[in-house]
Amino acid sequence: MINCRNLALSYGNREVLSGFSADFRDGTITAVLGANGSGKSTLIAALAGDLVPISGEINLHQRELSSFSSTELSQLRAVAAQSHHYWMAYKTIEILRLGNENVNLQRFNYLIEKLKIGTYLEEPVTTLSGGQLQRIEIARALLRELPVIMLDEPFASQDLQSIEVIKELLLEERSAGRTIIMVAHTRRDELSWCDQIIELNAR
Amino acid sequence: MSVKGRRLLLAAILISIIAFSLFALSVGSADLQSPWKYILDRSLTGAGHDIIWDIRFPRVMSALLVGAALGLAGALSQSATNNPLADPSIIGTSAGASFGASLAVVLGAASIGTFGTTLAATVGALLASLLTFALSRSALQLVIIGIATSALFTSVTGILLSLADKPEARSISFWSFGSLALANSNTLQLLAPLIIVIAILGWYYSQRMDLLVLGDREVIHLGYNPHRIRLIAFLIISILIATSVSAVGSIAFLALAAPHITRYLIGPTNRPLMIGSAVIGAGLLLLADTAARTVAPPIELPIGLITAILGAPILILVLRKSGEVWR
Repeated sequence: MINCRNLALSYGNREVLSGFSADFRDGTITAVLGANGSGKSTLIAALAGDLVPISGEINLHQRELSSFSSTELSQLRAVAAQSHHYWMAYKTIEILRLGNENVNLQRFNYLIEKLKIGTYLEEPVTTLSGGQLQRIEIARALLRELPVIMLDEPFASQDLQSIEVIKELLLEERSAGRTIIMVAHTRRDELSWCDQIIELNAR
Repeated sequence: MSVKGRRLLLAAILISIIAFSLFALSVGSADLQSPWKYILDRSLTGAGHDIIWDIRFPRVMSALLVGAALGLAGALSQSATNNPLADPSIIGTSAGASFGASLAVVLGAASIGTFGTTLAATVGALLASLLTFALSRSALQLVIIGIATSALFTSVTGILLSLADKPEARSISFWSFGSLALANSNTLQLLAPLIIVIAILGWYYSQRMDLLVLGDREVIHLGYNPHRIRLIAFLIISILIATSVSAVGSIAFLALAAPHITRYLIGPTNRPLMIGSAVIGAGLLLLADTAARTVAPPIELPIGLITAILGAPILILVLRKSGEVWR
């Protein structure tokens, strides 16, 4: 369970969010919507512990987020970025395994198959499309089965079939009691499968 | 390339280097009648023995060790900053090492080729690297601030040498192009233990540096500190570069080229990359030094120029063959 009380956040020198309060309960999916520049990604960064709020508080399991060590946080939350640029030709399988060396093989194979990564497992990541790279990010975030999973626009460059698969995976995570928070650019009426929708206003 | 293929390729390159080392022992400005006799039988005495084992052998071994140190330092620089442009001369390390060594010699605190110069070069290299490190907030800033730090230390060294009216100042100028002409058995005794120990440490630690390819944010999410990983890499680079610079001066380009060539051959994973870059660096520098001393004897060509003439076409070829894909 994560809760925010009266949160104010800035990106650079610009305040992008103020007076923000919300609860993210265990076993729920929350979609964060809003126009460009409304602070969606900044909110995710703050919830992930990457960014210190100007004021207000964020609690994770009734404990102030800033009091967690980076090692503790690494066991509690995973974050899928929108996409990541690689210049070195590591193979897809090497990127998936980095930092995830102890993941069980069954879980690994399941995600690879679901997200259709199998066909490019041995390919260098430098040759992949935006959608393929993004599915690697999503797989990396789901691999370690952590209690909180955050995703920045997981559907942005995906085809309809992949969107359905990702949705299925997230619903499975919810059934397993995990907390999912994602930034989305989808229409509100397409997010009926989520438990909570938070709309941020552009400032 | 498969793991087996990589090992075979590296083994083939290693064997070629050993064979070329023996050839390098047999050639030089002194025209020996039957050099192979002395190479194959170390117990034979005479001028041939002295030239091959007391003069050429330390030089060949120094070239191999310094080349390996430069290749390794280049690979560490690129992996630590996650930037294909990085090498120890870009992040300030080489300029700092030259500054430290020059200052010690000009002040008369140490003479060229002694442990004192190595120590001064290490202090200079650490100073410049840590300055770059302390001022930078990201991997990209490391490169930009590193260029500024380099310029600063290079200028101060230049001013220092212009003002010093000591005969040593002239011999210091060999540092700007680098030369193995002064390498002898003392150099080798100084280089070998330092470079071997630090290189093994660098190889061991490089596995952790694979994480940096994921970007700093993801490294933090995984519970590691990317700045600390880079700091340790910088310390290792500083000692490798200081040792090389104090013994043979600053040799351009090799540290940039060796890791790119290696990545093209065997891929970017750090531990194999470190071994490969050290091997390629060693081979290139030995090739360059052998050319430098045998192309127009008794004139010695500046080795920094030969490494660029050998390395640049290979680097360009490798990058062109990689196409749009960085290796």
